[in-house]
Amino acid sequence: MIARGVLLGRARALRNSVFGRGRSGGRRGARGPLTGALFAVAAGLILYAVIDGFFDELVRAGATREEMRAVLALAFDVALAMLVIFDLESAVSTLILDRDLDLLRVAPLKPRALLGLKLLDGLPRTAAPIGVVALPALLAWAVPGPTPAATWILAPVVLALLWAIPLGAGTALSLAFLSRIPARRARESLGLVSLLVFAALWVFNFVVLPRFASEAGEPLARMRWLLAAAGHIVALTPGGWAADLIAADALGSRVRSALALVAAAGASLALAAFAAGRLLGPLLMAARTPVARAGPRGRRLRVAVRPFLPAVMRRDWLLFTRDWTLLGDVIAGAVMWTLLPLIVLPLHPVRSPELVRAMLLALAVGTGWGIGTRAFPVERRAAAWMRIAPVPARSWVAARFASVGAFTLAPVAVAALGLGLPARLGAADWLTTLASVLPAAALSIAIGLWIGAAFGEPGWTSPTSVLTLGGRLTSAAALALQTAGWIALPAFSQETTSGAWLSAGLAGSVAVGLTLLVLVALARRVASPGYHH
Amino acid sequence: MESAAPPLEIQSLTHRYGDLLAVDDLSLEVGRGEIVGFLGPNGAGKTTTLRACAGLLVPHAGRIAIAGVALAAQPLVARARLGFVPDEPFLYDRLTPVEFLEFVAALYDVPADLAARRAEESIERFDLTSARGELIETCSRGMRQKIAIAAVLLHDPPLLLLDEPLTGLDPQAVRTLKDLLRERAARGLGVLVSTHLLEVAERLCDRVVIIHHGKKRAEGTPVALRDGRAGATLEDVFLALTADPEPAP
Repeated sequence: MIARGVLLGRARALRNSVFGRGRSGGRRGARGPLTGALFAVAAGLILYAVIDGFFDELVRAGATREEMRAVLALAFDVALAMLVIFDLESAVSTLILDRDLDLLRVAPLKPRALLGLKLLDGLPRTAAPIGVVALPALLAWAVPGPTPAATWILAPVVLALLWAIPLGAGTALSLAFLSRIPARRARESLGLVSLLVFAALWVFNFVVLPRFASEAGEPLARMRWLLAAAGHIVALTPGGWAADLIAADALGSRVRSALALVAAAGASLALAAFAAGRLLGPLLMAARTPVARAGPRGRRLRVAVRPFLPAVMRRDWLLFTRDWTLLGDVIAGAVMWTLLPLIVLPLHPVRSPELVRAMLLALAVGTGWGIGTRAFPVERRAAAWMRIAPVPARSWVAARFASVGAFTLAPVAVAALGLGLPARLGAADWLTTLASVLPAAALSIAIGLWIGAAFGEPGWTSPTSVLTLGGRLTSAAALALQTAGWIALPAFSQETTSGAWLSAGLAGSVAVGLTLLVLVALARRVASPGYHH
Repeated sequence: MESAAPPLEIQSLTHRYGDLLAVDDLSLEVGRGEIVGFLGPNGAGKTTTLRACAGLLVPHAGRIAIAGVALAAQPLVARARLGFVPDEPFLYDRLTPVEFLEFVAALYDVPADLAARRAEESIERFDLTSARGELIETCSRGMRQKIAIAAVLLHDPPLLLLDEPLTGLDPQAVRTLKDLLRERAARGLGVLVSTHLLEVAERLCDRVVIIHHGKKRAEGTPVALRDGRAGATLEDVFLALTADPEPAP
């Protein structure tokens, strides 16, 4: 009965936030969920078109039905991996650290009911990989062909089972992990786990992708090679079972896959319920027990006032460096971005200056984005000072840009020296590199700041979820476009040195112009009525 | 340069949240040297009014002037003349109180030595000494409230807007705050304080404004409001003014 009441309350809150009822239904509140849903639908449509086109290509290339099914299975498994990497930590944070837990905890709710409610609360985020990746893949498979009615009926059940498997098992494992560490470190530990999983995926890609790309010819041939090499492994994964259930010809195979899928999902949820029943209560209690935390080391107790710009920079520095999950995320991101261009090395011989330039570009764009998108959300509700204090919006924006710029360029400078000196770059190489790295960093920071201001989550609990769903999709698209654009730029101008200069100069000018435009838009946003988290 | 204008003038303020009329044609003034109590039941429109005065939301109609400066026309000058303590203070959890005060002083361009002196005074007066080096996230509700109050005193504004400032404060801190507000009033500065503690309002405020459903229901000194009601307290007056009519059976 209590859980039903809470569910009803959740449904009403969602209705109010979508349709803008009551005091919270201001401009921002009304648009938030709808914007996220629209972005998710757009991303899903794009992926549907991509996978649909890929299936067509496979058919034209004479791929077997098994190969096609393996592609579907891979898409399902990618969705599960995305859920584990990007959203599991957020779901567990919602379960352990959400703001309404104080209220729910004192209600006579059983831990399992609380688990169910919080999994439902996290649904918009955790369902995103299923909705944006698995569903379009399933539709791309089912829409063109003659698809039996049973497949359409089974489809939502299959997607729900796919959602439950990683979430249930992941939640159970996370609760077991958190029960063995000091509760006050729960948030940091969750952030660390997320970071490690993300880094592991990077390293895996780093090792596997170049090998995969070098051992086969054209993209289609490469994919068929991969399907042949890994198809039997994929068939044993939840994605493989789901694909079999949807697309297998033999009834026996379908039944076997259905049983495997249901058993895995059931076991996963049962494990989560068991872990919640045993561990959630003490964990919530411990996480909410106030713990005296020592102040920063070497703290100054005398009041020393600085001018505005140094004051903002110092505040930003303290906010970032005192949250080590945030700092760790940024540093790990910087390292991984720098290494990104090395992936192409097994495929194409690249001159040292070009490689250094590409590595610095990836670092500048990735780090500028990483710090920029977090700069506003890290302030949480205290961002209201931008509306209260007698400081013009343009000064705020300039200070934030300078602050994020300094934090971004510091690792870029270190990397430039570390990479450029051993590579013995000439003066012209240095100049062309700087001519693209600096504007790229500026544009990435500006776009990151704007996305953070527009889509920031003031109540974030983990460094990977400082943005709303719409913000994550927007920022991912913006980041991919920028990185690809900057790294691909030399391809248009390799013929002559003057051509390289011209394209770098042109791209740099465009980037600087765009940076200014985005900063003006950001200042307008910050100054707009009602803007504060 | 000291302004002769009243610290706060609100004329015909109106604000809506969708269909809900939160503040309806409200006018009020806080004179120099006045502590005005802003009373009303939950949802009466007090916080909306204070947030509009602080520049956190733009009202649909009406005019707000802070120490003679129109908030809509010269927002930066007006903001420099007020200090706002919201019901949930806007604090940076990962800063220490000292670092937070340094940052706020920079926002208001307070000269370094003056800011340092005022911050030290507030830290001592509100007994924040033991917490000055700890992160704000470890501070209690009352400590956080004290830090927020200390921050708005740094630039010594002509007007203080306080939304439920006594929440979480211990008796000593309540006394300290009341003394501080009286001292400010004695210096000719203005205070608009929203509170549900009617006894505090009765003793502290020179004048009270009672609103209900966004409309002003009464205004005057506590004595004047009680006038003609033998033995009545401000609480009796408040309850009588804010009682909704019984729905028809």
